[in-house]
This record gives sequence, structure tokens and C-alpha cells, in this order.
Amino acid sequence: MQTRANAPGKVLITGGYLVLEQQYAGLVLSSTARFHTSITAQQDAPICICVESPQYHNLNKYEYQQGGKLTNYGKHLYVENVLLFCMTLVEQVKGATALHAVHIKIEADNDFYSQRENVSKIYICNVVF
Amino acid sequence: MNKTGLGSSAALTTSLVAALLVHFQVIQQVVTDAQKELVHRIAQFCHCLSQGKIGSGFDVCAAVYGSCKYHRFNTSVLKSVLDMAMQSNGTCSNELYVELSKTCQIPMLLAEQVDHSVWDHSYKLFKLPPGFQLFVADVDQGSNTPSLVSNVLKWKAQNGDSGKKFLRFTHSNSILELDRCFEPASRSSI
Repeated sequence: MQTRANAPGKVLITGGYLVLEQQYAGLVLSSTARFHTSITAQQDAPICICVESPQYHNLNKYEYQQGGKLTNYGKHLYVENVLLFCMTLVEQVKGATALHAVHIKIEADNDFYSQRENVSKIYICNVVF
Repeated sequence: MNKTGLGSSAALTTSLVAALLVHFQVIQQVVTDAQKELVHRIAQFCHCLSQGKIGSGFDVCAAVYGSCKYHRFNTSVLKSVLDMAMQSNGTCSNELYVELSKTCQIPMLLAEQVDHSVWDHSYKLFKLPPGFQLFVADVDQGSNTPSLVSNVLKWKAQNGDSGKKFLRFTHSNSILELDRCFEPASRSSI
């Protein structure tokens, strides 16, 4: 059983600095570039969470312990805070029996990262018409 | 490798929150409005916690809802739960979860009710007019947003914006917006 979700990046086209205050609006466009998350259920007994970032050749392993604890916490906060609070939410809302080990893969579309270096290697100049 | 400033952390956070909540069947694959708002509030909380501060949240809102005209939520919404969460390191105590549940109104959202009085952000869905396309240049570096923001806020505090620059900017921004770019039925407090 695999679950996939993806979400876009953004470009703020008006309202920079203004948008920090509630009275002012910002016009934000969502990008075609998206982040993709895939989750596959695993059979392991402790609730192991394996997070793979293939583009970074990275694999991090965590364990969610009932009562709201995530082991190995501290090096990748953006991922780990989501794991901690969402797994806790699942346990609280659906009960501990709803939890199981998972393998998570996170991938980003190219546009989130500068391709200038790669482009220079292929083309003579950095401007592509 | 340099990022292009498209909001990777907000997109990452949002896709991971959505995937986990769908995978463990807290929300449906085809989300209801209330379930979408649940993803939004949990993502805003997690993102602010990871950043160590409460930003305006337009990046997370765009990641959840798409292109829109956005007014931020009141900072006070997240202040208490974030203060509590910043003390805990890798743990979500029952007390902290209760605070998070109350702040994000989790039970209410799961009961398909969306209360706009506490989380008072607004978003009006937007599309570029026909014939317009957005191009972004890759300059192989980001801008140091936190320092830019603190400089502007410092100026504003000292200056009091007596030149009413912010009001002039708002007026100019609203001229750019064409009525037909907004979807008629989207939620707005404007």
C-alpha cells in the first residue's frame, strides 16, 4: 500500500514585507515545481520510519515510540517535526493500533535547486534562448 | 547546492503532512475543505517550529491552496503552542498535544467544521490572466530574507512610515489585480 502526496513551491509577486502584517495582502503564485512524498507500509515490529532522500543519497532511520517520542531527532528538523507531530496526532485520533512502520521517500522537482552548474556544463553560455 | 528560493521547506512540510495524514487514514485521499485546512494548520505549526519563528505563512498557504491573494493569520494564534513546543526536543507530551489540538481545532476540523475566527488568514484563489506566464531567473543563490526583513522592520519602527510608503505599495498592488483573475467562490474576508 503506497500513498503519494505532492505540494507546490511559491513565488510572491506582490506584497513583499507588507504581507508580514495582517492588514496587507500578498499575491502568491504556486509553482509548477513540486515536492513529492511517497509512503509505503512496512512489516517491522517497532514503528520504524525510514526517510529516503534519493537526490541527496540520504537515508535516515527513526523510531516513533508511543506517547509522542521520536528517536534520532535533531538533524533534519523540517522532516522530523512533521514526523513527530503527525505520528502523535495519528496515535491520539486513531489509537496506537493504527500505527505501523513506514518507508518514506521525499523527492523534489529540479526547479527548487539551482541548475546553473549543470547548464554551464552543457551549453557554451549560461543564457538559453 | 544552492536553492532557488521557491519555498522548498514549505512544500516539503506540506507534502509530508498530507501524505502521513492520508496514509494513516486521518483524512481522505480526496480531501474535504476541513481536511485541507487541517493539513494547512498542522503544516503551518510544523514549519514555524522548524524555522524557529512565526513567519507570514504565505508559502505554506500557497503549498496547500495554490495561487492566491493572502492575508496572514494573527501571530498570536501559534504563539502559545510554539513556545511550548520549542521547549520539547523530539517529544510531544500529552500536554503539548492537547495544546496543539486546541490551537489547530483538530476535533472540530475532523468533524467537518471550519472556524475562521481563530485562524483568521484569508486566501482568494487567483490565476494569471490568459497569455501571461511566470518566468523566474536562476541566479544560483538565495537572498538573506531574515536580514532583509529585520532591516525593513527596523526602518519602519524608527520612521513610523510617516511617508506612508506601505499604503502606497498596497494601493499599487491592488491596481495590478484584475477582477477576472480571482475565482468567484473562493473564501475571502476582503
